[in-house]
Amino acid sequence: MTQRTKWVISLATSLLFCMAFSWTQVFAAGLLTPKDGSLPALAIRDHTVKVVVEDGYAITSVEQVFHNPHDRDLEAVYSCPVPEHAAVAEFTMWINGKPVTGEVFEKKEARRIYEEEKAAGRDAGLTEKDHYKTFDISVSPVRAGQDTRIRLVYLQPAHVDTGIGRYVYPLEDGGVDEEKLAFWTANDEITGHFRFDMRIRSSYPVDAVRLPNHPGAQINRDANGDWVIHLSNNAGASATHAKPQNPDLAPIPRSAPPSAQSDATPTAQTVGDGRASASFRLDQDIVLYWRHQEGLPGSVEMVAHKEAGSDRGTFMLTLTPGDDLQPITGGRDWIFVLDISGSMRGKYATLTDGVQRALKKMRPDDRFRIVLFNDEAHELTSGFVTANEHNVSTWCDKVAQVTPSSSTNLFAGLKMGLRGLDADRTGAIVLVTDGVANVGETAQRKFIQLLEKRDIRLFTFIMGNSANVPLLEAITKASNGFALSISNADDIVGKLLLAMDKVSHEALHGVKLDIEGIKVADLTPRTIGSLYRGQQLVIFGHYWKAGETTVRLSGKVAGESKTYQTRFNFPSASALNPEIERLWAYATIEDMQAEIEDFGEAADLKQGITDVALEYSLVTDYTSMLVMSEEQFTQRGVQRRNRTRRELETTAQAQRAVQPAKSTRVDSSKPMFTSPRPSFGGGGGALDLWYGLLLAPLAALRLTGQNKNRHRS
Amino acid sequence: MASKTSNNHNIELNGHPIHRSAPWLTLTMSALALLLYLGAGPAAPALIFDRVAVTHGQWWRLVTGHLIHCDLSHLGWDVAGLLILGWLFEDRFSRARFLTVMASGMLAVNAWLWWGQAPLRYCGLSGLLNTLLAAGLIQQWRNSRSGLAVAVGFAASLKIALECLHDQALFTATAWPSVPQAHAAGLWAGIVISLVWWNQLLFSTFREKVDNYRP
Repeated sequence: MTQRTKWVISLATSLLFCMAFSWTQVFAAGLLTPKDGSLPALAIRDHTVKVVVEDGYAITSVEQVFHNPHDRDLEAVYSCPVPEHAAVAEFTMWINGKPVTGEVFEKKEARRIYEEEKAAGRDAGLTEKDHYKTFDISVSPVRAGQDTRIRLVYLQPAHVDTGIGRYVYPLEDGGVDEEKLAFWTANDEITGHFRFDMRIRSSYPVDAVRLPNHPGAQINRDANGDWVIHLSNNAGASATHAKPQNPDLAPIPRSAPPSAQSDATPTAQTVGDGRASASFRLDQDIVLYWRHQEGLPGSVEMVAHKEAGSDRGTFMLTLTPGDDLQPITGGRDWIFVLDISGSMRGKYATLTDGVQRALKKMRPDDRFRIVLFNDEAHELTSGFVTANEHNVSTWCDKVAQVTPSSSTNLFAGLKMGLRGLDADRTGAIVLVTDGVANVGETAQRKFIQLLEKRDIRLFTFIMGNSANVPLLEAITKASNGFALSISNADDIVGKLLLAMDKVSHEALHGVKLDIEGIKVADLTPRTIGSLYRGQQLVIFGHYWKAGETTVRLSGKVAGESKTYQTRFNFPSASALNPEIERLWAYATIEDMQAEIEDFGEAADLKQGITDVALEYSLVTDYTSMLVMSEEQFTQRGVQRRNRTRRELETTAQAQRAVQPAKSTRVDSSKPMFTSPRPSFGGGGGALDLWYGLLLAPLAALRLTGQNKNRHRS
Repeated sequence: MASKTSNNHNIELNGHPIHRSAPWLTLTMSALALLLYLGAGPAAPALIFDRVAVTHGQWWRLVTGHLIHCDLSHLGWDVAGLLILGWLFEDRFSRARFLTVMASGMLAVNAWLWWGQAPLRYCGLSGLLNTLLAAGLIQQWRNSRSGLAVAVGFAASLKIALECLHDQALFTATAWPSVPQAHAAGLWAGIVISLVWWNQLLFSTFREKVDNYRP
């Protein structure tokens, strides 16, 4: 056997092993059943998702029907990953055929009432948040042989980065909660209908929409110019093979890892109503991108909510800076700190793919080091290595050969990454992890102190769902870097280009936003940090009265002060976007939560979060949403605060839906930024084979000498 | 325009001798593109056309952007295209005119990048190659009334128009997305510069005839 043959066999064996291994490690959203078999499994009959993205935020509504095929009443426990910055606005359960909207209680109180209702055999439902990991929905009872229908609605900001918007419907479990995984098994199969419908309403022209891992999705535009996306197991069974009505248009080549592509084809079967359908598994995120047209202006948008006669209003300001950050041209040092702990198993193929592509994009004057960590850290390279073709290829292979295992000592990994920095060269740490630090130092403050010792930026790639996003975002912000979330269903090349684009340009550091002219307060985030090329700045806050204001954005680029300014009016009344209040409240809660992570669970912060969550009816670590029958709500004297708020929100949503998307830009007359927005990548284009064929006859003439009768001019 | 052939390889143009056994300008440009790719790497950040950097005074990018390529495939196709076009057309122009063709292409593509709905960053020779193609074909048609030159010109224009319509290249896939509008700008530059020269020629011939008939 030749050396080459041995190498091929070894590679194939490794790949097969990795694939087989990662297959066994697929975790997903689904109905939980104890692994010990003490309770029989329920079924998810239908799963319907409706998403509307407009005015800078997304509203996601998930409706599910659980089915109990057994001859005794059972409790259903559904668990799904927490979507990024998602504020649960509604939990509804159909009781006796009528929808009943839930109300928010303190967590322990909600659990107590739920258990009481459950013990009494009455219908009840509970949505709880398990820190940054999962939303857990308990429903009791699902009656023997019957269905139970529930709906969860959540709001989240929907930003655009470098002209590309991204929405993720998270389904793939991060696999980071080992205790939970040891106890429960998740039934992620939908036996009936799966539907995913999304509508993108934008006053700025969107010229492409792309679902990298769902090529069968139907993508259309309606008469209002809204983008309408549809995915279902009925249509999907054929759509997987059919040509989409609108082809992929985004410039990012498709490169999802094999593990993520494997579940794209549903398996056909017949469902209860006799129609041919296909079962669908909730084990793969649905990632969707939309791309804004090139050359749009840098801008300031404002969405406000202020009821007529009310003294106080709430606003969301979105600043999209123009492209005036210069490229960085010198060679740089990159330290890759890679998580190889056991929880990375299902994501490691994506990690190696991303790292390989990143290394291949380096310039010859760049250098890199690779540090790996699980329960301890070790350096794969021995010091910095020049990013030439041979080194890149060699180290890429070595990274790919690693098998993830053990726990996660993130602190040790970062500490080793910070060693041996060259003070004469610009350096950056690229941290790739699912961010569940569970060994060694785990306190957020210690991480921040570690990074504050060195002047180095941390760029964090957060892999998968259920990652410890609060910790990772906090330490990244402390280093003035940026964090990007990556799903297994993401377009890795696209994410990589996005990151490379940011690190290859100067950034605006120490960013401050001043609003003068009217009274504003409760701004969140309290500290902004840095703004990288393509990033939007989103600020929530309260304002009093109305009138013209001066808004000033300032910061430093390469040590030099930079200020942008504009003037516009805050409205005296605006009722079309009541959701802004909850988005403000949730952003405020996240700020307080970050403080708790940083300095410990101070009683006043915990109370602060609880108060805000109760006022705005939000599910947090300290509050849960409970549904019980209307009679029980009345009997227990529960104020229907959330029901009232939801009615206000749904009325506004219905009003918006019948109108074309309106521009929320407020700086048109006095633009804050003079340059257009940055866009994704650059342009080029080459001559091609077709040109070659065109020129062939001319070349033939020339070669045969018939074309020598030339005159020069 | 007074040009005469002294032998197979030595030509005089407006009193300036032209002697080229090989398309040296083409070879020089190709070598430059190749060296820049090898030396500075793909899409070299300091050399590509970058609108923001140009506004900060980095004017060299208006020239170097056209010689930089984003990946090997981009470089390969463009350099191969340049070599073929140079071999076909370079000796149809004096050195000054060949360089003028290229400069007019640069000007047109840059103008589009600056004022058009263009990407903020750009690199590659392809815009200029279309200028050379248009100018070369027109020159060939002027010399020989070649129907083939017209056909090739028509087909190339159609391809670019289709690509502009679909906003993407039909047959190539490079790391940076194709910008067919840059090709169109280049093609137009080639047509315009050829028409300018043609008009100059017609005008000078007319003047010559008028002078000859003058008593």
